Amino acid sequence: MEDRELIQEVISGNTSAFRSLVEEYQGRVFNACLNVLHDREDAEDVAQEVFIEVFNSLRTFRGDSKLSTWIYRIAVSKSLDLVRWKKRKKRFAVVQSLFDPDAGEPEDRDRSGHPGIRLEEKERRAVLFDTIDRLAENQRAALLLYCADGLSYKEISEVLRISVPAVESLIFRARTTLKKKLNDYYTDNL
Amino acid sequence: MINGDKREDEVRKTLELLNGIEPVPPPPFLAGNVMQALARQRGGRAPNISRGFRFAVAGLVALAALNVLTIVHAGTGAGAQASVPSAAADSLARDYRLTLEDYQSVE
Repeated sequence: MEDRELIQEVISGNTSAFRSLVEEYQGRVFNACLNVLHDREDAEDVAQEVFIEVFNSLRTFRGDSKLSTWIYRIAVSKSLDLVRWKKRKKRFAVVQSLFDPDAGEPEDRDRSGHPGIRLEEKERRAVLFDTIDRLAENQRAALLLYCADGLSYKEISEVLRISVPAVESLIFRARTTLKKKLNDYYTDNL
Repeated sequence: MINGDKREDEVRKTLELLNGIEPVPPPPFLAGNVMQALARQRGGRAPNISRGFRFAVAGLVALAALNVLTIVHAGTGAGAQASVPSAAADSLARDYRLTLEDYQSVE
C-alpha cells in the first residue's frame, strides 16, 4: 500500500492498516531510538510511544516530507526527551543519595552501549557511547542518524528541520569533539 | 612516542565502531504491544490528564469546599453567638432604662 493510501486508511480508523504501518516502520523506529538511547529496554518503551504518537497525530501530517521522515522526527524527539528526563533524574538522585545511600537504579542492566556492535568490542563500545552521551544533543542526533541510521544529509536536515550545511557542520563538530574526548580518555586510561 | 601511537590507535579503533553499527531486529512483540496500547486508548479509558493538573483541580475543589463550610458554619454560629451579647445588651439596657418600653414611656 502506498504511503498516502495507508495514511488515509489509518485516519479513517482502519486498525489493520495501522498494524501494517507499525510492521513496516518498527525496525527503523526501534533502531532510531536504540541509536540515541543505546539501551534496548528504553528503546522498546520509546518505540511504542512513538507509534501511539504517530496514530494520534497522523491527521496533522501535511505530507510536506516523506512519512518516514516524519516518523523519524517523532522517534528522535521522544528519544531525546527521555535522555533529558534521565539527566534530570540523575541530578535528583545525587541529592537523594545524600539522604538515602541505598537509593538508585539497580545495576543489573547492560549499559555497555549499542547491541548492534560486536560483543568482543564491548569495552570500546561502552567508551564510545559514553562519550557520545556527552555530545550536545543536536550533534549526537545528527551523528547517529548519519552513522548508525544511514540517513543522507538531506534526510537528516528534514528530520531535524535544519539546513543541509547545518547538518554537515553538526556532524563535523560531533566527530571533532568525539575525537578530542576520546583522546583525553585514552590519555588518562592507557 | 609509543604511548601517543597507542592512544591514537585506540581512538581510531573506537571511532571506527561508528561505521560498524549493525541494525538490531526489533522485539517480536513490539507491534502487538503497540496495538494493545492503542486498543486500551480507544477503549474509553479516561484521557491521560497530567497528574499535576489533577492535583491542581483537587486542590481548588478542596479550597472551595472549605470556604463554603466556613461560611455555613459562620452563618449557623452567628445566631447562637448573637444570643450571648444580645442578653448582655438587654440587661444593660434595663439597668440604664434604655429599653424600648422606657423610651416609649418617656414619649
